[in-house]
Amino acid sequence: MSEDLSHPLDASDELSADASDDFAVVTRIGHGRLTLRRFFRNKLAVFGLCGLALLILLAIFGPMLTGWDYLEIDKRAFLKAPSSSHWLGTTRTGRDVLALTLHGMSRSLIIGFVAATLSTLLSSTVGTTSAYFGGWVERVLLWVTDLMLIVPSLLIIGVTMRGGLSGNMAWVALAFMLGLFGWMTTGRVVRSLTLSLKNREYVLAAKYMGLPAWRIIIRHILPNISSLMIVDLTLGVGYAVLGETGLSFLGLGVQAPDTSLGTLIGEGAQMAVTYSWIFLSPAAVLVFLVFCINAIGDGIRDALDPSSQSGGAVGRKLRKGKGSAEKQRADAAGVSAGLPGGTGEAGGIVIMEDSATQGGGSQ
Amino acid sequence: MSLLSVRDLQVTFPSEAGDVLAVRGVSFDLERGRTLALVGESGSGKSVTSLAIMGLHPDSATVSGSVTLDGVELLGKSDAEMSKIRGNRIAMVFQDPLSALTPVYSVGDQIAETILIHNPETSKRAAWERAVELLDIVGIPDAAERARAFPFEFSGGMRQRVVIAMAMANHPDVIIADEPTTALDVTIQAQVLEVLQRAQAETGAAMILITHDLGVVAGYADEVTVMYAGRPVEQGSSDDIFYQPAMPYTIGLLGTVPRLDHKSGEPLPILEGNPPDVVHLPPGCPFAPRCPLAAPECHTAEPVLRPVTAGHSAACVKLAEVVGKGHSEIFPLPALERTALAGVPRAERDTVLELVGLHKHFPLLKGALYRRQVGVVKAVDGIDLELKTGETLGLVGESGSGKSTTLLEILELLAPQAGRIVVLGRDTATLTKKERRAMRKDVQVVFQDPMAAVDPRMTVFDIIAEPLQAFGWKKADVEARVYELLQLVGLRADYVDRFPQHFSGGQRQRIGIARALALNPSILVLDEPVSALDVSIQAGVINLLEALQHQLHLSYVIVAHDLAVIRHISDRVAVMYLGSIVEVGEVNTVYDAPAHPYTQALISAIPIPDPNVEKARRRIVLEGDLPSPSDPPPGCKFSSRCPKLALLSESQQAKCHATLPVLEQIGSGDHQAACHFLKLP
Repeated sequence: MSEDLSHPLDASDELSADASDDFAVVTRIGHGRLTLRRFFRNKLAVFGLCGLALLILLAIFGPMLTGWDYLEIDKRAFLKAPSSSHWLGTTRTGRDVLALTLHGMSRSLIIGFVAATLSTLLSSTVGTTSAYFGGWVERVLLWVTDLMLIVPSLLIIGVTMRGGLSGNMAWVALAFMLGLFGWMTTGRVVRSLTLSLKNREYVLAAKYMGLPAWRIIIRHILPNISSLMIVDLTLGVGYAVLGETGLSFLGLGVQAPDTSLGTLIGEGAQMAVTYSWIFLSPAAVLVFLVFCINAIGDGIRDALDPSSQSGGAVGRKLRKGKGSAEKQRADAAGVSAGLPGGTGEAGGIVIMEDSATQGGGSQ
Repeated sequence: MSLLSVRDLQVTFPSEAGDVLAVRGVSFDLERGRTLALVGESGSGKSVTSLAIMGLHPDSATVSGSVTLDGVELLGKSDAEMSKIRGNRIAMVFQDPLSALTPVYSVGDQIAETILIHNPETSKRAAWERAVELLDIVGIPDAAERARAFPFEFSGGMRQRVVIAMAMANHPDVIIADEPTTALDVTIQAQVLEVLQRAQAETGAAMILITHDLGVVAGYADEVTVMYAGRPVEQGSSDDIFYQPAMPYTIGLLGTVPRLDHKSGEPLPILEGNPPDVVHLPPGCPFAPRCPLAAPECHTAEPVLRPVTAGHSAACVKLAEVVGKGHSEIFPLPALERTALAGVPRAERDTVLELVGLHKHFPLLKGALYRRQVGVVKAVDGIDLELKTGETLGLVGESGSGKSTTLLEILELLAPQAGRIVVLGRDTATLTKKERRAMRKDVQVVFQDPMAAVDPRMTVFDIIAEPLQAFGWKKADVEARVYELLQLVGLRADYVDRFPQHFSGGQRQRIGIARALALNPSILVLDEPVSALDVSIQAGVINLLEALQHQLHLSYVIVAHDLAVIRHISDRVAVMYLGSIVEVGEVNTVYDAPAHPYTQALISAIPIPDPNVEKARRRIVLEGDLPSPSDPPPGCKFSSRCPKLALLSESQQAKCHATLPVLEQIGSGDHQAACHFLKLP
C-alpha cells in the first residue's frame, strides 16, 4: 500500500485515463491512523494525554528530583510551609509533601491501571461468554453479576483491608478487589452488545463453517467490541483512582506507612484550614489526574465513533488554508461513504470496477 | 408558476476524506397532482435532495441553490419557520414505518397531534374525528377502534398506511415519499402504493417518489429524474425515460434488471463498474469510466442536460449517437459457458438435498418466573423439497412464510423436530458430532447483507482463509487456495490485505461467495444474495453465481423476495405460505401459469419496469396481512385472504375452511399446487 500512498495523484489519473482497465486504486489509510487523526483533532484529549504523560514521568523520575524520600523524616521541619528545601512543605511527622504526593500518585495510578485492566478483562469474559452460549451458562453468569452488584463492596473491601491484610503489598490486594467489584455494569453492556453481534451474519457464517465457539468469540466478537473496551478501560482507570482515594481517605484503603493520594488527602483534611499545603497539593494532583484520564477517554470514544463531530466541517481545510494539494490528497484518504448515514467505519477508499462481472463469464 | 420549483440545489457534507458533494445541481419543477420519481442507486443523492427540500439535512451540511414553494423561498428559513411548513404544506412518508411512529402514543393521538399543531383552533374532538376519518381513508379496518391502538399493534404495511394518513392530515401541497415500500413485502407494496395514490387523489398534492425500483416508477410516475453521482443525468416523462432513454446510464440500468415477464436462460446484461466516489470526482462525465461509448471528450468536462425532445433532456456528450440505440447495441452481453450437466435430465441427476416433512415449531412462552407455553408458532409446518446436482431451487413467499427458517434448519444440520433432512444421502439425525462438523464443508451459506456478512475487522485473506484454517489446512495450501478463490470470484489477488470497508457492496458479496466456496461445498444456501445490492451491481453477482454453478456443479437453494431474480436464476421454484409449500414446479411453468391463487397474487403484485405493460395490467391485490403463524386460519391457511374464495359456492367455501389442501399434480410435469379448486379459473 505504501506505493499507493506515495503516488496518490497517479492513481486517480489512471482512473480517468485508462477506464478500460478493471483496476484503479486510490490511496487508503489504516483504521488506526484515521482514529489517531480524529483523536488528535480533539484539543482537550490531546491536553489530557500530555497531562497524563507528564504525571507518569513525574511519578517515575520525580523522586530523583526532590532529594527527599517519602519515608524520610526531617526532624528539623515539622508542619513547615513550602520553602526552598521542602518545595511543598512538610507534614506533621516531618515528611516531604512533594515526595509523598509523587509516591502517592504513582501508587494511585498503578492501582487504577491494575483495577481497570482486571475489571475490563472480567467484564468482557463474562459478558461475551454469557451472551454467546446462552442457556444455563448465561443464567449462572447473570446471577453472579447481579449478586456482585448488590453485595456491599465498600464494606467487604474495608473489612479485608483493615483486618488480615497489611504490609507493603496490601495495595495489590486493594487493586484486585477494586477490579473485582467494578466490572458488573460493563459486563452487562458487553453482554447486550454480544447478543446483537451473535446474530450478525459473519458470526453465523463462522458457525456454519465449523469454527469452535471460543474461536468465534476471540476472532469475531471481541475485536468488534474492542472500541467499547478501550473506552471502558480508560474511563475505568479514572473510576478506580477515585475509588481508591475514597477508600484511603476513609482509612480503608492503602495503609501507612505506604501512601496514596487518598491517604494524603485524608491526613491533610484534618488540618486543611490551618496547614492547607498538606491537603491542597495531593487534591490538586488528583483532580488533574482524573481530568486528564477522562479527557483521553472521551477523546478515544469520539475518535472511534464515526457519527461524532470529529469529522470536521465543510470546507475546513480551505478555511484553515492548510497547505499544498499533496497534503489535501493525503488528508483525503479516508472513506467518504461513511458520512451521510453509512456504517462509517471509515478507513480508506478503493474505487474499482466491479471487475468480476467479466470474471464470471470468462472462466 | 410551478408549485414546487428546485433550482441548482447543491448539498455538501464534511467528511474525513474531504467534502462529500452529495447533490450537485438538481433542478426540477413540479405541478400540483403530478408525480415525479427520483431514481438512482444508493449514494446518488436522491434522499439528500428530499431532505434538503424539507430542511431536514444535518447542520454540518451546506446547502445552496433555490427551493421555492408557490414562489416562496424555502432555503435559508429557520428551523422554526420550516416546522410550520413541514407536515402542513410538505409532508413526508419515510421508508421505515416502524421508526417513523412514536411507540408510546396511540396512532390516533399522533395523527391528531399533526392536525392540532398546524391548526391550533381545531378542537381536540374534531382532530380525533378527523384522524379516524383519515385512518378509514387509508384502509385501516375498524378505524374508530384501531385509532386507539399503538404502533406495535400494527403490521409493517398497516403502519405505513398510518404514516400516509398522517402525511395527508393537513392537505399538503407536496408529499415526499422516500422509498415508501422498500421495507415491505411485494403483496403489501401493492396495497401501500394504491393507498399512496388514493392519498394523492384525495389531497391533490404533488408527489416526489424516491425509489430504486424501476417497476414502481413505471407504474406510478408521470415524470422521472434519473440521478447519478449527485446530478440529474436524464429528465423526462415516464414514457421518454422507459422507451427513448438517451443517456447510456439509463439505458444500462433498464437493461440490467431481470424481468418477471421474460424467460430465463441467457445471462443478464451487465453494467460494469461501480458508481463513483462523490468526494473525488474525476473531471468529465461521472459515468464515463463505466460507459462503453466513452470517448476522450467525455473525460474533459462534465456534460450538462441538453434537450432531446420537448420536456426530455439528458446529460451526454454523444447524445446524437445514443438516441435510438437499444441496450444490446451499447452494452455487450456476457457469454455463459454451459457444462455437460446441462443436458442431463433432472430425473437422472443425483439428489443432494432432500427435506421430508420438515417441521420447525417455536413454543410461545409467557411469564417471567415460571414460563409456560401459551401457543406454538408453526414456522415450518411439514414441507418436502428435493434438490438435484447442479440445480437451483428458489424459495419465495412473504416475510414470515418460513423461508429463512427452512434455510437455517438445513444449515444447522441437526435432527429436525419432525421429518428428515437428508444431505448427500446422509440423514442429519444419524450424524455424530464429528461427522456433522465434517459435513459443514458440503453445505455453505451466502448471506444477504454484504456489510454484515464479513467481519469488518479482518482482512480479505483472513476472511477467506478462516474456513480452511478451521479444517486444519496447511499454511501453504491455504495461501494457494485463497488466491485461487479470489480469481474464481473475479477479485484481484492484491486485495488480500485490505479490509471489507474498502470494497463496494458487490465486491463484498464476492468475498462472501469466495469464503463459502473455500471448502468445495456441493450445496450453497443463498439467503437474499443480491437484495442489498444496487441494480447495476446485482446483475454481475447473479451472473457470477450462474457461472460458478456451471463450473463447479454446485446446487443452490436460494431465498429472495425479488421474484424476477428468482425467475432468472432458478430452475425450480417453491412458493411458501405460513410454513407450507402451496405451489412447486419448474420455474417457467409456475411463472407463466401459476395455479395457486396465492402465487397468482404474488406474481401480479410485482411491478414491471415498462409503463405500458404496467398500466395495463390487472393486479390482484390481496386483502390484509399475512396471518400470525401462531394462529393460522383453520382449513386452508390461505382462506383468510384468498381472492378465489368469493367466487365459490357456500359448500365449496366450507371445504376451504375445514380441510387443509395437499399438493396435487398439475399437467404432465412436476408442477404441483395445494388448492381444493385448482380447476376453477
